[in-house]
Amino acid sequence: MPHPALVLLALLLPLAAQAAPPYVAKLVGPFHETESVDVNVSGSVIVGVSSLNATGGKAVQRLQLLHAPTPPSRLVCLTMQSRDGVYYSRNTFELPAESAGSVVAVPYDRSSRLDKLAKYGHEDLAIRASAGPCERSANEYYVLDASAARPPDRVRVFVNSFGATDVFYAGGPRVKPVACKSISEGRRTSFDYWCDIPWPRGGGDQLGVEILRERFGREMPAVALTLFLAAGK
Amino acid sequence: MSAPQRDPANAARPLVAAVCGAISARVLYLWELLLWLATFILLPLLVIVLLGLVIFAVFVPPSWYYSISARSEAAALTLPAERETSWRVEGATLCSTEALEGLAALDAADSPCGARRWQAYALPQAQELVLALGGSPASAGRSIAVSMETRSDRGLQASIRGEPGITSLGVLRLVDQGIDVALGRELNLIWPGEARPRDLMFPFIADHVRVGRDVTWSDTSLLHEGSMEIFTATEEHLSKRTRVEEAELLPGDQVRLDRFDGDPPLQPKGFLRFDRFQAEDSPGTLTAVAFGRAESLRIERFGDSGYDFQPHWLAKFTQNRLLLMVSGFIGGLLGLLGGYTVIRDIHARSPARARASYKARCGGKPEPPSANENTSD
Repeated sequence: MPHPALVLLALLLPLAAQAAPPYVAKLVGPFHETESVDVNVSGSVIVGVSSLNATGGKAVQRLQLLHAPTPPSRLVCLTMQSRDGVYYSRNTFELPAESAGSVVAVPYDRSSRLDKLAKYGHEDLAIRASAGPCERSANEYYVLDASAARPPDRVRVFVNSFGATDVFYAGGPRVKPVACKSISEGRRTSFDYWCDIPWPRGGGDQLGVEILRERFGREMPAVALTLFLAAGK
Repeated sequence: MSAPQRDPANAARPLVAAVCGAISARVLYLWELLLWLATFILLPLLVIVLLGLVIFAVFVPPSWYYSISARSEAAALTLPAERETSWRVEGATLCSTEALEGLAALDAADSPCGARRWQAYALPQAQELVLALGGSPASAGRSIAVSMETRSDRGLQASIRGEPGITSLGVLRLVDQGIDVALGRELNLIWPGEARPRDLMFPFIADHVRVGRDVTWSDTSLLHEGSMEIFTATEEHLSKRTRVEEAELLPGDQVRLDRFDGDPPLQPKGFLRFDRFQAEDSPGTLTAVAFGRAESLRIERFGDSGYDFQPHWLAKFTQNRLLLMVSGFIGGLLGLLGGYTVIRDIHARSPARARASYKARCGGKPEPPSANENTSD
């Protein structure tokens, strides 16, 4: 009969392997973050793209990027924006060359405001990782997660509607546009809607999604985005 | 030669005799008893009451009532779905995502409703039409979001959305025909500038009221001017309230008044009014008035993270009339007793007695001040 400690070790080993992804992204250039009561108003409709596990300030220290099997670039631009507009960070990270299709840890340990970030709730902090360096705007996004234990159920996209009265997303497994949820309480400086997009099972490497907005019935320009789906997810 | 000396005690004797003649020993006893009671019973009791009132004021703060009065191009309400809210909507174009029985739909070419999912219905101006939102017990706990905004053509538009779980926003009452038209979950109302038939009034009892909107580079609607006031309940004024503080709103501010989640919860009340006649050279605006009990008003100003408009922490004491009265009574009593003690002390050390005392100590006539300093010991 095997020793109980060996059994326990055998049970914990896979979990440990899952808890610590083998690849770690590297920060490119100096770390940039601001926290100011003089808030900025972002010009981007898509403010955050992450799994439900990776929403909220407590997730920032265990961010994992679900890397694309065929990435367009090894660089990603990680931005974080609080709903009240007080906190903002934008940093370029480089993904390991051999990490395509794998889970890559994105260290956020250079922040000097981790304590304050931890106080942001699930509806208060938008995180996104777009393909390419921060100097270049892109509509291709990696999905950020906080746990590699199992695939995320949903991807939450935080949207700055710019005064829209209705916001929908179209794409993914659903054909008809689905209403996004309005954030009615609290400050809505950086974003005011979120859309929970079901994670496609057995799909391809990418998922095309459109964010549709209406203002008192009148259509506003649609915003298309591409989500990279990690292999095996 | 020194003047003949008089005994000060002898000098005071006629006065004392007169006083003794006038006040009996019993009255004097009562007076001293009164002083003793005031000093050792009443004063400590009042101090205890004062401490109790201070503790009460700290842990049970007074009720603050906030009012907003503003002129704004945008306002938003969250209405409780279980309460019926009725507004007259003659002359509007009603846009619905669901077909409405009993109303004639406009052609798509004539529709001002925008996207294809919206079906337009022109509401006649000559009939009395009442939009009755909510009022269904089945919708208890859910809410209806209303957003109103003036249009660039000096008209008005409103979006009305039911929370998921609400199947119908309510009914449109065609009062003249006695017909109720059931509404869907989404509704837009548009009053084009040229077609507005009458001044519009939208009274409400809401869970949340927002006047103004976040300033962004993509939109021009904003709050133009306004003021906020804080009141506390009082029985001393006919209005049953006393103003504690007042502040002006700046253009671009966004101010929010939320439901007071106490026991019982209290909802802000007020109205939005859209005047048909407005100055030609100014943008069309809504007059927004809201009043309600709350912990604070949230002001969000462009470029900063916002602040809460609420009374100074000392206001819970300064606005407590009973606490002020007891404090004043204690102060008055202390002043009275202190004054009496000082007077009695001064009387006990009358000039004649002071002179006699000096002579008893020093003998002869008083020394000059300079010499006195040197020989004071």
